[in-house]
Amino acid sequence: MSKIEDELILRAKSADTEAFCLLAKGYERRIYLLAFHYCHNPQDAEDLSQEVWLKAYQALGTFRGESTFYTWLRRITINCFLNHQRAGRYSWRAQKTGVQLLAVDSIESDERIASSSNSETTLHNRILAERVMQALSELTPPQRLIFLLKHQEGMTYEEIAKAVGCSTGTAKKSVSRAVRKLREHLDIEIRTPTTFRALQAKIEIGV
Amino acid sequence: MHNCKATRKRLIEEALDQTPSDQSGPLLAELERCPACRAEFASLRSVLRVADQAMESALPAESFWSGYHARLQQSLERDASLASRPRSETGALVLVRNLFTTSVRVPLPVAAIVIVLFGLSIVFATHSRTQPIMEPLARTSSVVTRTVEVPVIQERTVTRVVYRNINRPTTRDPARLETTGRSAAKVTDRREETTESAPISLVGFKPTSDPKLTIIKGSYRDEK
Repeated sequence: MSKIEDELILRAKSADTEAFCLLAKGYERRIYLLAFHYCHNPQDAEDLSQEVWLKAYQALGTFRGESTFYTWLRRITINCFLNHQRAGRYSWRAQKTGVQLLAVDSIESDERIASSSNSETTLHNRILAERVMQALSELTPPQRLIFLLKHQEGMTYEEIAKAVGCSTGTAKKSVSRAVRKLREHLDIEIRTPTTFRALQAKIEIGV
Repeated sequence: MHNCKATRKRLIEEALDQTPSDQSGPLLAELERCPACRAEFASLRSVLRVADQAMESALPAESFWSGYHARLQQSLERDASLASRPRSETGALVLVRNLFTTSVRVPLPVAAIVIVLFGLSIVFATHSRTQPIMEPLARTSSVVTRTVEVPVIQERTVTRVVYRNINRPTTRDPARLETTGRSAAKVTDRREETTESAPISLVGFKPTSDPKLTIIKGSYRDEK
């Protein structure tokens, strides 16, 4: 944890909302993306992520610095997601993703997307994103959450099982199912690369 | 011996770049030997790469974040109670709360032993409390009322009605008086004899009617 972050946490603990907003700025995109892929709706994703920040602000007094701030925040996020899932507050609407993805054009921070001024590439990305959303929407909310924690957060199966409250086997099955769904929707052919080096080269160039 | 089924189970982990480094080497060596598994692995990597790319592209525009911040700031300030809570929970209150909420992990056997010892101490405490109270009671002389059943001897009173000859000679008839006197003397003699030998005797008496014997059962309490 950096000194600046420590200082911001201390200030936020003494009810400094500006310090808390600065602290949130470092992780807001990550939390928002997680929420967006979890609930598949930009409005719900914003509500959910805002709720995570409010809960984090309320519980900041209990943060003792035993783990990193993001690990602590992620725990709050997962609990928040699970509570919403139990309450059935949000419906997962994959059909709305097409509308949301129109905003992809104006992303400035992502170098890869920003550099692709070619409209064909943008359209291709949009289609792919829509397919990914479609594949994820076919999973149950816990399966989707497990996949996101594995793929986006890089958590181990043991950590996921502990956080979500399932067995390690269930976590593995959920990830496997998510990958199968993604493969179905993205329609990626299984081609045999001639050699392993060719395979590695293909992976490196992103084919 | 290469087993495609077993290898493919480990491919997702490898594709997600989360296979431990010591297991990654043998897996890649197996992939180099099996074209089918290699193709599967390439497919998985491509799927995850494309998914990653697509998911990253779902981030909203930069202009979105300024509004997002403003809304977060507003919601933090709007809820004054939420904003004041961290201030109130700092310092001593947090310490007190932590004191009551902090838990210590104890192994189950240790916990069981502690519970048993606690239970035994309670039992001993209660026993040691009752014993000193009982001892002084035993030493001091105290009146103890007990109900004891005593057998009551039932008294039986037997009343015998004895009829005696009351036809004594009168003074007007001397002969008769003499005879009666003699007989009376005899009777008295006999009576004296009988009273000497036996207090009451029915010998020589002839009742006018049937003798009546009344037996009254009862005790001295029935007497008035």
